[in-house]
Amino acid sequence: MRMDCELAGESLEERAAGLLPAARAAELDEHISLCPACARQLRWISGLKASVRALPRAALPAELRAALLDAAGPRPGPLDWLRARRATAAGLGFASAFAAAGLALWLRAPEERLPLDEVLTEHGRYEATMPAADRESLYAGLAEAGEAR
Amino acid sequence: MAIHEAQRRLVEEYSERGYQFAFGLCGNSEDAKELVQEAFYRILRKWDSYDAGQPLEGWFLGILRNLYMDSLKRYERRHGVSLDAPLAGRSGGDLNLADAMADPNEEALLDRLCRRNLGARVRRALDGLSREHKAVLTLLDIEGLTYGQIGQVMDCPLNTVRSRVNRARAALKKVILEKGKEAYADGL
Ligand SMILES: [Zn+2]
Repeated sequence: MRMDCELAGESLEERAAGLLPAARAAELDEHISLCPACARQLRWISGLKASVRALPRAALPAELRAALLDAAGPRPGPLDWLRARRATAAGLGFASAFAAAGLALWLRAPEERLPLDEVLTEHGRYEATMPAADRESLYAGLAEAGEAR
Repeated sequence: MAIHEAQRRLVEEYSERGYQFAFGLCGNSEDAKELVQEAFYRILRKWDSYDAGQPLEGWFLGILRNLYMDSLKRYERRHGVSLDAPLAGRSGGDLNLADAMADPNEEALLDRLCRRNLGARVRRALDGLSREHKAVLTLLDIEGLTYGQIGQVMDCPLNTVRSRVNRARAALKKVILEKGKEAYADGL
């Protein structure tokens, strides 16, 4: 059955929003290519959609954002971070990087040692900024050391 | 992900969009702030279990729903209008998008619209629509929700979403055409 204007008109919004299944979109497009009235409606819908999307938006007030974050609960501490990483990190890679970074800090002279929390936080910064090549050579070195032991 | 962490992410990722939706619905920052605070608080309080496999977007839909329903209640309280009153009639009614006949002014307006030259007029026209029409167009055009998701937010079946979208679009077009004709008549 060929699509008529009424049926086409019902689907123009979904066509403009990209929500029509491909087969139906193709059928509609065929109708539109032969029907100037429906083609014009589609241009209106698309033009209005784009204009609504382009309107300037209100900025979220900073104090509201702060209040919502407060309500969401405490910012995750280093130990939460560690727990989360442990749960998701893939095996040796993370453990080795952690050991190396933590150990490097811990092996300082006792008067220079940081409290455990700071070591963990420091490790987070360290791993996040470490160049990939360094990380790989570190892992390789640690694996070697592990085998030699 | 721990609950608090997920909640913070929800706030970080969606509070701005929630505020923009609320601001669009009520048109001033005081009401928008109150609505957003209440909508988020209610979701956060209710959040006693967290399934990491569930996308945060589901919670955001809940927030949008709170914002929409509360904005309607607030409007009703202030203006004494029942929620059962047909909202569509307030901005365009059953106008069909095709009802507006093609004329040279319309073609000129359509060209300007497609060249994104009608921003201020579109803003005023959108602000003049009913809450229901404003909401449905914002959810579709700005938030990019599917019809099913819009139905969840506005608590209505798919066919109702479809007809609301069509009516809202027709109402928006009608206002822009009318203002356009006035502007042409004034020699602008
Ligand atoms: Zn047609």
